[in-house]
Amino acid sequence: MTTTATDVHDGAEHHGHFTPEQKDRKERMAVWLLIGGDAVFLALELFTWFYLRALNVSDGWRYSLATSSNQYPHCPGDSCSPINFTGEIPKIGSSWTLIVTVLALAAGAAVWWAEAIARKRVGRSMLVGALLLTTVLALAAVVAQFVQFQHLPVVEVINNATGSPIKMHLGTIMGTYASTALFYMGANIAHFLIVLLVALGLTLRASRGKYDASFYEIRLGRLFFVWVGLSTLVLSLVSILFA
Amino acid sequence: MTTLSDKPLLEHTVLSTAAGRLYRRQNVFTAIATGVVLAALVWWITNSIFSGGAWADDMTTVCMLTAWVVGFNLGIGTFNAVIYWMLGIDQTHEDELYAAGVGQGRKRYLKYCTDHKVVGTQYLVLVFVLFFVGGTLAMMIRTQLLSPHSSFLSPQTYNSIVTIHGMCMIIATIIMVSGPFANFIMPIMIGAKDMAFPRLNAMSIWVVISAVPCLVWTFFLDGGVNAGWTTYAPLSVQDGTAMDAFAITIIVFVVSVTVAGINTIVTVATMRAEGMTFGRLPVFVWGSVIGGALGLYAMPAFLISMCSMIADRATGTSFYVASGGGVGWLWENTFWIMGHPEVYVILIPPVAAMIEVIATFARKPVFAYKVIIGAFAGIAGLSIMVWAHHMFTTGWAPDLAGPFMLTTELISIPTGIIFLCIIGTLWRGSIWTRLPMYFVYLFLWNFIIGGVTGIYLSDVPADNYFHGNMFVTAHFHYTLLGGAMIAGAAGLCYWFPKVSGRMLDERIGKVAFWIIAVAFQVTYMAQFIAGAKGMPRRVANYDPMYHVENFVSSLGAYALMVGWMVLLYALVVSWISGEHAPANPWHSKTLEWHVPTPVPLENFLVDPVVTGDPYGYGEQGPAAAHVTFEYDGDRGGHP
Repeated sequence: MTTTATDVHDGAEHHGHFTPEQKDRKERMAVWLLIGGDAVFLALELFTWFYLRALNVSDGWRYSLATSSNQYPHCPGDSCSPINFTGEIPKIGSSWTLIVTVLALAAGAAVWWAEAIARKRVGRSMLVGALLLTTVLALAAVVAQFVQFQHLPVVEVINNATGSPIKMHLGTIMGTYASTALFYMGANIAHFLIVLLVALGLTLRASRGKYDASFYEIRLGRLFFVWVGLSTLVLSLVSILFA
Repeated sequence: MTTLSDKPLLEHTVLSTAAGRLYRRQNVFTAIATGVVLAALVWWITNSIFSGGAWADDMTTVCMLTAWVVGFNLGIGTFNAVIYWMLGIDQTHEDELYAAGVGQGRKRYLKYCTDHKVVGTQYLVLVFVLFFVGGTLAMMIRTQLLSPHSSFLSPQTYNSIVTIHGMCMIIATIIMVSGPFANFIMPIMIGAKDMAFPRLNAMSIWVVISAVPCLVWTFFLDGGVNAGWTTYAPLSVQDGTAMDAFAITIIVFVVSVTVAGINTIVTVATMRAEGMTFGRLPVFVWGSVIGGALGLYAMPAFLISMCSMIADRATGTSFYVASGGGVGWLWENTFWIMGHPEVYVILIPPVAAMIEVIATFARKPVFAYKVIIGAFAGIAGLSIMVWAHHMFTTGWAPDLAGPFMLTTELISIPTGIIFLCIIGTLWRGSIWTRLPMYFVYLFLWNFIIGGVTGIYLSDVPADNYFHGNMFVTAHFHYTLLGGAMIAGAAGLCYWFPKVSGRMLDERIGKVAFWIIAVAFQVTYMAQFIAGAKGMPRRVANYDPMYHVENFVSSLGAYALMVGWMVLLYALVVSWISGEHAPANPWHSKTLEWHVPTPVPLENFLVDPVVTGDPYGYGEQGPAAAHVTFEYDGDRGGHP
């Protein structure tokens, strides 16, 4: 016996067809679990930072003793002869870190505002505007994080073989401080890209009136975006205060 | 009023030709094609950009394999719903039914299908493939070790085979129960129509399928991965580009396990039938939830260790490069923060599955049900505090050796409690000794040996002798193969009629069982002896004083492989031409046995109402019924 999809669909929990309340409950729990897993990842990032900093193996955290002689561990560019150098790795500039953090927190605040607009039923255009702002802020955070990569401090060290100074980009001369800081930036970008995609989706859906009746997806977005903002703040504080 | 027999099954729905949209054109072949094209494109681009640079090969390999995974999943349809969601296009009910496999027959097994039973079956096939690959590699290892100075394999090839054997088996054992049965069986057990997130469920299997070629491909890159499955840094940082493929495999696997863990927990928390209180959840459901939660804790550690290793290899950071300030202990910590909970991610779901088997065949309620659940939780809790026992001999934090020894030994308490509860359930039961029970007995024998030898290894002085030798190899094979895998085999034989719709040929199954049971003892007892005499593990050649033990172990291993092949033969033959299975061949009380076989789409066309204990075998009268079916006249179907 055969029938059509309309015949058998009675509005109950068929595949993918849940009520907004059911979806909200399920997806909220899923987002919390995701945040829980991400919190473990954050904790391990912090462990990595403080562990390497405390050990300071081969004086390699920031090559912090300017008088010591260090060997650049990898082959830079096409050259594969390691360089012996003396120098100190500078801190990553706090201004860009601050900008990135503010943008991440602002994206969280913007989606919070959007959720308030949806809750108060202020109007679709206002909601779209707030979500668009969230998207722009998320995009700005991604861009700012990339820009920070491009503006890493230039390191001037002394090549022990020739006695002459050489300038190298922090990104190409490591040490565990620079390694971990760059890893944090990479983790930030991964998070910001997710936020960006979700924010873009929320904006497009809002513009199509998908949140006129139920807006639980915006509330879930708020949950995750705020988490991303806070985790960025934690990483930034650590990378500035405990360099 | 519509009667039960009048209502059609959902899978007989005739869909319009527009249903499914892009899904209609997607299958495993489009996935492979998309993955290959995207990987080739990215290889060309990255090769152009990074060519000649110090880390060009690693960067190119990482980008190319990432593109393969993304492309494969684009091609199979993993991202369709996300893209539609972003564009504000909601899936119609027809689209959802198409994605659930309606009207596609067996082709749905080669597509992105959201039906949890299809996903479970796909997992089952994948597990068989991984075990076959891992087992074949094990045979090569044992052939090399047949004689002390064998030249069957070069040392480098031997190392890469040991590595991939290890990781293949780890992946397979992590998903061997939580993949097939937590997907196929668990939702039915709690009275749900599907998993909470059917699309994420389908994603979890296709993502891990896309990772398998990366793992296999390691053999063809730079002579393979030589660092062992633990891929200790800095060895892994110095290895060839095969290590990049290995790391990508793990990262993708982490995504799959994380998604699957979230799905399992949310399903149990939000999708239970009326009356299915937490106190009535079958033990297997608890095991799946606790295993999933532990996976959520463990997998981020796997992710950070692999990401930082890739960073060292492909971007020149120095997490593990001593001259740049890095240290191998960082790897060992993050790796084992994942590694020991992961043992229980492997072990808890199969043991929980086996307890279902025991209750059914002993015709008795599970002994101390709440204590078992508490013990599972206790194991999970303690397992996150024991990781450094893998590092006793590394020199890391000697002052912590005592505390870690204590926490490790404490874990034997909840483990022992579970063991006693199993014995208590069997005690004075009217035991119906069918094939699944054979495997239960074998588990009890093996696990007590694996458990007791584990106590030796948790002891710091003893571990100083045994660490890194064949004793350890024998120990973890007794727990993971002899324990988890045998418990998984009990679950497989138990649920086979429900999954396949056919009865398993127990005559052939028992032949397989006896070969496995005997060959297993021969293989690993010999390794215990070799280890006790001091033979190191991970060596391609060894001192002739260990020849007899290795010769015997290799013969045992061949017989063990034969045993598993016979079991596989029994499964395949039974699946193809076995006797049709009734809905409840074991007269079990849990819900999955109260739906028709084969199980219809959405499982319950009449909503179940749980009214009693899933293990109330001794109860009489109304209390004996675990479940009733509530028919409201509009929903259709049959109880």
